[in-house]
Amino acid sequence: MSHEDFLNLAPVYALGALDGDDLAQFRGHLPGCRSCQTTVREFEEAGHELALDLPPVTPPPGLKEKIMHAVRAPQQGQVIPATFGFTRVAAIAAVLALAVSTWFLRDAYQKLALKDGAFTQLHKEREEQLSTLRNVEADLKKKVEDYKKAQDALKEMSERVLTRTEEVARLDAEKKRLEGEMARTAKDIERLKKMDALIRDIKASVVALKGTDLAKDATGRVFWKDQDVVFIADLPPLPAGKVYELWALVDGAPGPVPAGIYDASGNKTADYSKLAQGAKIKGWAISREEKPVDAPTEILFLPAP
Amino acid sequence: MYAFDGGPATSDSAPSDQELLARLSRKDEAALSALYDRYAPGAMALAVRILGDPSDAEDALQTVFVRVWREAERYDSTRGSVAAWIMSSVRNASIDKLRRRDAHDRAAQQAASRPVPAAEIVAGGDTRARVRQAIESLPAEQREVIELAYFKGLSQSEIAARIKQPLGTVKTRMRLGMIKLRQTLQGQPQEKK
Repeated sequence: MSHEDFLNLAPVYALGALDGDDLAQFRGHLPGCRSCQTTVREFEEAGHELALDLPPVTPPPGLKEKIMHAVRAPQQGQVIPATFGFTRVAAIAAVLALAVSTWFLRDAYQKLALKDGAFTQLHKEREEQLSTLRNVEADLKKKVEDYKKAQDALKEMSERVLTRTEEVARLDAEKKRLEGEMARTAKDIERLKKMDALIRDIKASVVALKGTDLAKDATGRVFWKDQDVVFIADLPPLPAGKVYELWALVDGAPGPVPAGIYDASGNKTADYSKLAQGAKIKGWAISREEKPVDAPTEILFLPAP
Repeated sequence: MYAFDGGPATSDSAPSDQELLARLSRKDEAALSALYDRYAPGAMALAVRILGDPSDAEDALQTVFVRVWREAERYDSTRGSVAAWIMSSVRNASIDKLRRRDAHDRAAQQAASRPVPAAEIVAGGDTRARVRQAIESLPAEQREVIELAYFKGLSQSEIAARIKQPLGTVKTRMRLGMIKLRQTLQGQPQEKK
């Protein structure tokens, strides 16, 4: 900062309004610059002229007396009455002691006055520091508010992202479900195409099945060619835990051979088959079982006679 | 006589401020009484203007005049006039008190708006007219920043925040206003030497 800069700050300093870095620099410069000291003094005088613009106000009537009383108080001494003998000596000693005490008190008071001046300066500096702190505090408050606003905006954005992420996950699950359904549908179509082709094949064999005493109203029909089999049925509903098992009556085999697990409508539910390649099938039967087995227990269907 | 025309009657034989200060150093109560009569009306006006409350202003005056009594020997004439010393002390004491009060803003508003009762006002004279003229010659924005600093004790940064102007603008207005004030008042007698 140049001398010109300091001169420009002198009016602000004289008004006691300088603060922060300006004040620190000015205070560093002032003691060594007589020109600035004079300028500050002139501006201080001009500043105090402002008070002259105020209409003078008569102080309260008792104020002067209060002040005079306050300044008298420390000077009031103790009056020692003069009496006889020892009392008089004691009184003189007391007066001497008081005089010495007064001298020490006065010295202490002068030191105190000096300290009071230093205290006033310190107080002024403290006020200036407080002012700077208040500015910093205001600045910090603003930054905290800005930070809170940014935090709120970030939170809102984060919530939106979370909602979108959940939406994407839900759509992804739905897509997978639909893909699974499409795959199953394609498989069904393929199966139905094969069934249709087999049923239409003139070379395919067919047999009508007749219910036994266990299911007299049940009907069914089996189409087959080589290893391909189509079973159409209208069977009684299955009790819980039971399955229908289709059996092939193979020429030369010692008994019925397992050919698959079905539901009441004739839909294959498990591919449990032990038919050998090129086996010569003479007919079919249906049994009701607890689980897939290798020998039938409850025969429901037999080939129609 | 410093400037307060409403003060006690003076004559050419009245002691100067410097003489009164010298007597104060010797703990002459009559000197303090004379100094009080000379400056108390102006000091009271300033304290009331800053603090708004006459009771607080009374406390400030008591603090200052007791300090003048105790520190008279420390007065340095090269650092300014007796009047400036006393008024500066009144201003500092008032602003310290103002800052200590919880209801700073309320008090400041009262100070700005409170009319001084007519009965308390001592009639003004040429000096006041001269100062009024000097102050009125200032542009409003310069007068505003100077008054905020002098009467409210606000720093340049606090003023900038209050009037919502850049700090540089505040400093410039304060500097130009003070220069103008000093120039307008220059050459006028301010103190009886």
